[in-house]
Amino acid sequence: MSRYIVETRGLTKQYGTQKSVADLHLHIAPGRIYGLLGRNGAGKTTTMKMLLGLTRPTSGEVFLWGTPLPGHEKELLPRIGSLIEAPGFYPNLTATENLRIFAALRGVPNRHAIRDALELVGLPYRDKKLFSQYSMGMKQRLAIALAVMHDPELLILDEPTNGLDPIGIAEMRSFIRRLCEERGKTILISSHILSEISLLADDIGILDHGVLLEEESLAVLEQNSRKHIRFAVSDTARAAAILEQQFQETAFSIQDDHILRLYNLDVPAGRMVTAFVKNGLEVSEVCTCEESLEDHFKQVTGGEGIA
Amino acid sequence: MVWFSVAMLVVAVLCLLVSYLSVRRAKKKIRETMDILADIKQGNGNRRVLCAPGELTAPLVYEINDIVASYEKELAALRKAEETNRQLMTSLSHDLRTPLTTLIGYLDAVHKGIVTGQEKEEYTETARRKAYDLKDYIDGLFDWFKLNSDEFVLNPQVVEAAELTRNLLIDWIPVLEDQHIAYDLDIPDGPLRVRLDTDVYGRILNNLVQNVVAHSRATAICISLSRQNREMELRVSDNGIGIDKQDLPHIFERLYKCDRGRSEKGSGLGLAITHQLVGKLGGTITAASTPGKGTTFLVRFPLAG
Repeated sequence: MSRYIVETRGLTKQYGTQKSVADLHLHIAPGRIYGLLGRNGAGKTTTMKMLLGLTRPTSGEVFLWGTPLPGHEKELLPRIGSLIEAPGFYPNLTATENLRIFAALRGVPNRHAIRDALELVGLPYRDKKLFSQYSMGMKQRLAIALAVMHDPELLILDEPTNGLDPIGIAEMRSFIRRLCEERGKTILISSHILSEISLLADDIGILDHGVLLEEESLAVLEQNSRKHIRFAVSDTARAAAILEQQFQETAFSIQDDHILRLYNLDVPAGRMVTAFVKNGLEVSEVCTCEESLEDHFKQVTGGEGIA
Repeated sequence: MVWFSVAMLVVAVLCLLVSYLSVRRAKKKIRETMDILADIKQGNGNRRVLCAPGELTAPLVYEINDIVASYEKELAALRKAEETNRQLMTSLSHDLRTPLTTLIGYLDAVHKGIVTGQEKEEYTETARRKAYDLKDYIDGLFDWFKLNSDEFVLNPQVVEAAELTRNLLIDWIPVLEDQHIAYDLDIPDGPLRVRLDTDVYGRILNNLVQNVVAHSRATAICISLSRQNREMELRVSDNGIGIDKQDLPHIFERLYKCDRGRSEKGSGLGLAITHQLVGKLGGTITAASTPGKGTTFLVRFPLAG
């Protein structure tokens, strides 16, 4: 089995002369929530459609569970639950009736799959309300129920919080987290909202104008984006004692024998270096890293921040 | 007669065709199911065999799925326990590195003769204090993981909380006076019967007062106990530096420290442990704060009987 649930190699989609997605190398590891972050029109939906075989790539390959997608759709796609744009539900049927049709077409893992799926998203089972009478938020919930009804291993959700109210958004977040943590699902989720992704995802891919600018775990991104001064010295133990004694600084962490991070930017860094050197320490590097996750996102996309 | 025979023949052929097709379909379904089971056997407990509700093999397939799902659930619980252990190891290696390295820094300076005389004494004293802080931190860490691993055993009994609280606070009075913190204690005489583990309750109260003394820079503390509807309410408020709005939702999280530069002591475990303990006793804890004005912690337990 492959290390990745989803892997793309040089995935490209060209519409006319415009490349909607260019040379994408995506890696989604099992049991993780992968957040695909990008502004409107960055190529998120096109990418997801290619992963599901809904759109044929101009070039490049898609591997799911290590198997190339073309030619194996019948065995691979049933293992995925997806929500891309609005699924086609019959307006003159109820939610339960709609799901019954899909259950007969696609198959389900157990007898009470429909009831479970509706319960999971907070919709009533065997309710009389027709789909056409549903609000935007309820339609979105039903679409998610459809995506999880067959208990898939991989979920591909394109902006799943669209149309939900703030409480619905929070519910959705905890629901996605639960699926991942308690049931070991792998989840690919797209969003143009940085705060939403940073609350949810384990790994983040930043997509801009069809190009994957960065692919990194959130833990690494966050650690790198915390404001700090980085000292590389010959002896961190000695340096720590000096910081405490001479500068009354305690807000630091020691990475290893040579790297010390100071989490306070209003300090006389120059005098600190002098004190280190006077005490016989070698200082090989001092740099200030002050970039929040949002700054970082702006920087890699080279544009304004987005709401 | 001929017509009848022809009709019979057609029916027979049709029957054969139908049964042939259905057998072929069932065979195909079984083959697919076997492939999926091979994957499950390899350890992929998330895999499910899908089947439309009316199909011939549906009851069989659904039963298989149920069994796989229930095993997967048990495995998930095991994985979670493993994750807690892994976190403990990470905490030990990561969170202990900074204080330990600093401690070594002081001792090295003494050992190599970089500091002498009075300064040497001070360095030794700082190192000693840091060693004790480190011990406190490790004790806290193990408490926290013990609480999370459900090894923790409670001894709840119905007790009179007013008297209990008063006795616990007596020990704090010299500490508060020593720290020049004015105190206002409002504990009613009347009986407040609550189902508590007295040791755990003591740790909750002590942690909250300790938190004020160590981190708030308060000059006054107010501790009160009262009856609110069917609950007992313990209120610990101070007039200290307060907690920023952005920090407030996180203060009960493990290792969350409001401002890393603020205090050198403190493990980021005290309030997380307090939160866990209150939960174990069936109570709730909340915090409200105005930066610069002070913080109030409210702990509520249901009254007994």
